[in-house]
Amino acid sequence: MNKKYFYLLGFAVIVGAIVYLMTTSLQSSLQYYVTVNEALAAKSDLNDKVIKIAGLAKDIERLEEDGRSLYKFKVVENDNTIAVVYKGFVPDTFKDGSNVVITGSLASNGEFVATHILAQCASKYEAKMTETGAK
Amino acid sequence: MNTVVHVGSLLLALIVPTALFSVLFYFIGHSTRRDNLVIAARRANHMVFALTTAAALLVIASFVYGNYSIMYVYSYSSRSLPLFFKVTGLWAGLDGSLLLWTWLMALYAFIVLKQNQLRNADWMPIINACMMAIIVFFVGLMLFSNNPFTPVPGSEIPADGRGLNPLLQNIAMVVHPPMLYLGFTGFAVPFSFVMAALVTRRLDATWIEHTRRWTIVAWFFLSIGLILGGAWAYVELGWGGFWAWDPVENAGLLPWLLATAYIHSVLIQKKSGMLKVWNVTLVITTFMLTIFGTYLTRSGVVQSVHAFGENKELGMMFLIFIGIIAATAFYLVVTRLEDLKSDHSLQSIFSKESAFLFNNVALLICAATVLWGTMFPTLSELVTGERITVGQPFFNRIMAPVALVLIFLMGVGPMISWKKTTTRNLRNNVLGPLLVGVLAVAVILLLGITQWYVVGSMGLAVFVLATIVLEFYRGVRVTKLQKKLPTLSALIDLISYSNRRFGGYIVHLGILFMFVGIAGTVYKAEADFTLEPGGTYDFHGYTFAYDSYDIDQNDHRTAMTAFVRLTEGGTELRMLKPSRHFYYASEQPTTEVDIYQTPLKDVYMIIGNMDEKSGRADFKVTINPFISFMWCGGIVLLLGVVLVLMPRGFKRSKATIDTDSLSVVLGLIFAATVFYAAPVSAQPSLGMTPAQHEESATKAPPFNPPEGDARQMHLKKLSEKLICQCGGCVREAISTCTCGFAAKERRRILGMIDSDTPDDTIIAAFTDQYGLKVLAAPPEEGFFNVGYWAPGVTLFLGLITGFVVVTRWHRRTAAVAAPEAVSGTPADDAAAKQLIRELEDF
Repeated sequence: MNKKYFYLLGFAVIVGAIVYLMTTSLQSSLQYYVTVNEALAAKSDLNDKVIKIAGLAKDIERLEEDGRSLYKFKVVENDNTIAVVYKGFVPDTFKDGSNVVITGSLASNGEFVATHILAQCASKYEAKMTETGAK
Repeated sequence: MNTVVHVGSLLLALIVPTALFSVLFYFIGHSTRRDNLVIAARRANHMVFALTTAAALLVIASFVYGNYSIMYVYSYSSRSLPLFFKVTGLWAGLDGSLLLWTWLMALYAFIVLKQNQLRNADWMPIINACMMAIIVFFVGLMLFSNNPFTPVPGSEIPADGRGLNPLLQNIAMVVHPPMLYLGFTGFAVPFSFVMAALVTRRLDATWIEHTRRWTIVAWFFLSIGLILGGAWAYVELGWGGFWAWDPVENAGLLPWLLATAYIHSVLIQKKSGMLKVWNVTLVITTFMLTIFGTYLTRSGVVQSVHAFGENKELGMMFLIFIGIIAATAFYLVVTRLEDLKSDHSLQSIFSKESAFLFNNVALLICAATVLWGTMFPTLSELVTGERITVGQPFFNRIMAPVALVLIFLMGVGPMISWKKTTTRNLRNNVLGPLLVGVLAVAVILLLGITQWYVVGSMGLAVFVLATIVLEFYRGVRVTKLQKKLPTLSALIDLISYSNRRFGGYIVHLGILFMFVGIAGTVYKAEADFTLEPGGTYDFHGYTFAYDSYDIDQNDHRTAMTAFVRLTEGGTELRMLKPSRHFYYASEQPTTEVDIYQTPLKDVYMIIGNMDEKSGRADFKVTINPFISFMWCGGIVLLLGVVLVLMPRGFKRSKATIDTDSLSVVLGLIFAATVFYAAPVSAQPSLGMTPAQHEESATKAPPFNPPEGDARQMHLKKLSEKLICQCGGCVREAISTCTCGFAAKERRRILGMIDSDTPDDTIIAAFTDQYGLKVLAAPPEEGFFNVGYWAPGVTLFLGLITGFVVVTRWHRRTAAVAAPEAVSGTPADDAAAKQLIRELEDF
């Protein structure tokens, strides 16, 4: 086979495959990462889209439904809040006042239905100043 | 105490001019061919190693002697911390990690110098100048931004440090960082060789051999680092997986992928003199990615669950450094394009060359995907102002098909001929295994498994396995005929003489196992449910019966443990004891996972919220099929790499004690032991019984016996060796813990001392009751002894091994006599010749 032709063909096939894969996978896994303020400002645009919202978790209320935990809480940034419902298991670091990134989508009633909670604990890799250490 | 601060900073400050002097004199000495200047530069090179060693030892000594006037020591240790974790405190945080990094780099530079000062005297100066320049950068970082010798603010010296995060008090987490750093800094060696080859225009075959070996050494350490990181995340973090496509993980994977590509493509250059520019670029990019990876994780440009914190200044310095490397490398490559011309060109798509080429392209796509996915949030914010993240599906969707292509090539590549393959060759070598693979696919489909990734990877894995078995079978058969050896000896002989080729196959085998482990995650099943004591939950054929619970509360923490009986089809498998500890002081709950491990499946259980009155609790269960293949594959892979690194024909040189192969084997055994010990020792259920805690509202005073009282001093000595099991303190010794529980334990020890019980028996009484976790440091005996000193020994043994192997392999290869051919039947003879030819191709 002609060498040049081979290279060219191979190159085109590979580039095509990557572009195809990248675009299709990107579309299906793109998530807008917004703060509470931004989410409220662009509410209508974000309906039905999978988004991530960052903020502080407040007023956590634990209920139960069909033998699973159901959490209702608020994600707060400054004075803005979004009401969130989440069904399932929460991470260790999820508690009132912790920084959370929730993944999910806005339902038509304005509630945010979360499918995943990532609670960040700033001190995760650094032990805080504790009485234990000061003894 | 401040002397340490001054001496330490002075040591660091001295490294910069010494290293710069070395760089300058290497260059001048080299270009003017004045050997005395080069010798002066070499001395400076040794000096840099001595200075970094002194600085590192000073930090370690400060940890050991508890010099809390140093911020770094204060932040990452406390008096009660076991000695072992004090020594490893050197790399507990960023500042010390930079120093360890520099130290390892200086050590590599020292080894390279020793190895090459006679053999490659004409280009050694440039190699070492390059490594010294890299050291200047890292020391500069320490001096201007992250000095490990920074004193604590204020004039008062703290009495004790802040302590080390309990999550990091784990053997896997202690070995993981130095392994990663050994890998990362290791890539600086091939990079320096390439730069020197470019500068001196010595672009013949010499540099390939050196860079290939050094790349494999670095790749070996990086592999250990990555696997250990995954193992730690699995047993310790409680989310049921081992890889999350987190930016920090990706930063380690990127250079690994490119180095893998290089290790393969360098074979084409060796064989047919093609792809020179490509190889040079791969080595340079791999090194740049190690720097870039550090930049990613330490500058805060990407968001990661590893909260390392932002440091804009540090990030800027990294960017400038990467820029300098890129510009220098680009200039050198462009001006040397003429020397890097290919000797040949590709003759056919159906050739080994092209299989390797495709392998490279596939690995590069993987690397590009990982880089893109990691950087996408940052890039999108720059371009659109919106931070858009990509989830795990993005990585999985692209990596899965590319991985399948890679496995396929892994089977085809070794089987087809160089230059141009014939249909006869394909029929003989590929057809059989391919049919086996197709058969496997049919069986898998019949079993009702239709998920394309699983079918594909299992089918391909069987195909590759068949090619590997075929290769071993043929090799052994020919060796048997030729040397008239029994099967087992023939196998050993074959592996010893063709260690690169067959070591490579063993690495492939390890990768195959790991692929099976990854394919298993497709069938990972998760469930979360809430149960009251007495309730049961059925999931995937298992029944989880929540029997009872235990809430253990004291001054420091609340520990909630659930006792869940795991049964399958009526047979009880084990009592699972997932628990959750909530520490009041750090407000940080920690999950203690419980895993029921079998070769085919892991049942992984964690506990969430628990109602303290009713015991009603949230549980999460993950069924992880085939995950043990992941860990086995890792060990097989490391074994294969060690084989590859051995000198050719290592078995034959019996006359002299084969130090290099011996030490490589030892190095591997240690690495494997540590690796194996890590997941095991992190298990919470290592023979433990819940501690009986003495309720007491009043704090007992810390134990401080008067000097001279022999009985009390004896008690102090013993109780220092034991960790208080009250659960509230962070690994306080019984001698220092202030809770009532410790006071009771001290009375108990005293009672035993009074009845003349030997020390060993007292300690044994404690380990019998609480398990080995009661010991302040791992016991210095038997298997646990390994856990105690293996990290350090592995580290140094690995380095010494590298040094010995590297200095000896050239002398060795020349000394090994070619295998003497003993003629068999004419047909076998022809086959044998063909095989020997093929074996020598690698």
